[in-house]
Amino acid sequence: MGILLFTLSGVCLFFDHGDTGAGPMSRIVGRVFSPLHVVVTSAARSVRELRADYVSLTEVRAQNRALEAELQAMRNERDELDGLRSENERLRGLLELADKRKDLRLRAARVSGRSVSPYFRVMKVTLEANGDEVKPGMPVIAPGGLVGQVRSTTNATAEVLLITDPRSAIDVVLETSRARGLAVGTGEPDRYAARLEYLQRNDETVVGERVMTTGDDGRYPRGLAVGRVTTLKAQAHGLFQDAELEPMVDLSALEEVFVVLGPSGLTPDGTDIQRPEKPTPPAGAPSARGGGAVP
Amino acid sequence: MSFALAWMAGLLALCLDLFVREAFMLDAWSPDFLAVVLLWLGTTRSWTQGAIIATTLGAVADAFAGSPLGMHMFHGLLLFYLSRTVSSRVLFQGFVGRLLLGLVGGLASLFLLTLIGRLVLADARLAVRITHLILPRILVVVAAVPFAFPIMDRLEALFVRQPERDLM
Repeated sequence: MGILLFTLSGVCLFFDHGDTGAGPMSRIVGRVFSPLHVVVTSAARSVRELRADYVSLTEVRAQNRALEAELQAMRNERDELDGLRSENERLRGLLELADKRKDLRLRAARVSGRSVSPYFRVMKVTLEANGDEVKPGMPVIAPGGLVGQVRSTTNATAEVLLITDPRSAIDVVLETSRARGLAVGTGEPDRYAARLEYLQRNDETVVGERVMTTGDDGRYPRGLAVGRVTTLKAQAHGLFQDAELEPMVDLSALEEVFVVLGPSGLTPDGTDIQRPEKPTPPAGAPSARGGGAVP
Repeated sequence: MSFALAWMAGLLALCLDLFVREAFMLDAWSPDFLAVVLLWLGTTRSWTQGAIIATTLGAVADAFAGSPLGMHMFHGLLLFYLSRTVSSRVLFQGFVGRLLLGLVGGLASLFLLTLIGRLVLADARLAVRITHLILPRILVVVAAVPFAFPIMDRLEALFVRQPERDLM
């Protein structure tokens, strides 16, 4: 049997050749098993494609993860830049304010906390330097206008009574109508507002008019913007009309402020205030103290 | 039954060989399942039955490989005879024994195929071209034999009744 099979193999190998290289035996065997070959090959190809898809999907997933991480990093960077830009704008506003109000001695402070009570409108500020100079009652301003006044100080921090606190009262004048009144904080827990009291009934005020400090109360410097009139309502009877104002400064988003230490002795544009020179008393004239001239 | 089962196992090995090669593109490292089955035939089948199965499987391998008909027939027949001869003289039992059979069979398979190819194709550089195949193909056969033999033995025991087994 072995010899027969060897012979068969030899015959196939050496004599089963046609014009195309494959003889009749070879063609028969090929035809019989070709369908099986095709089936197995196509199944294997499907598996290969599936595997390739899986691999590429894994790669895409990994790439997606990397891109997400990159996106997150860029978002963080953008947020950081937004924060820096916002801080830059705020600080620029503060610098502009300091530049415009050279008549005032200003001390920078950073807002470090707000009142937790819904009844009071108070914020804490951290003083940048020289906290000893800051005293209760000193006005606190921001680039938009007036913020409030210092209520108390402790080391490097101070408590500021906002203009919307019910304990705050500011002598004000309306910019256009020149109507006078008193801005008293409403102390409402859900918004920052103040009401204008003692506004004359016949004063021709309009909504949107700016409200400024008069400087007559001896506490706040003259010409600081306090707010803008939001509502006006004449009382049915009486001498006055009801009005409300909204602070010029966004008190909810305030981060840096200036404490006004006092007048600087300069004009707002920075030139020295020209004090009238005292007339020189003529020689031999009696001194103000009544004493005579020193021989 | 035993004959048909062995032949089907060989055919399955060929299909698996083709499938693995095509699906996973293993190239040199694709396992030569047909060689494993031929070695197993040498340890379990009679001279006649094994030779017939090896020759016919070789013909199918030729059809699958696109090689001249007879090349794998010769190869299969020679490998079976080698395996049968060796295993009739040496008892390849246990893991190490089968490893050794795998080593001998793998080397012989590659050598025989190269020799036949050299004779048939008259290609003097064939041996050089397949040099890089030697190590992976032999390693794969060596690794496959100790695991494949027990599986095939158990499958055969499962399907074939004891009196039918050709214990020659």
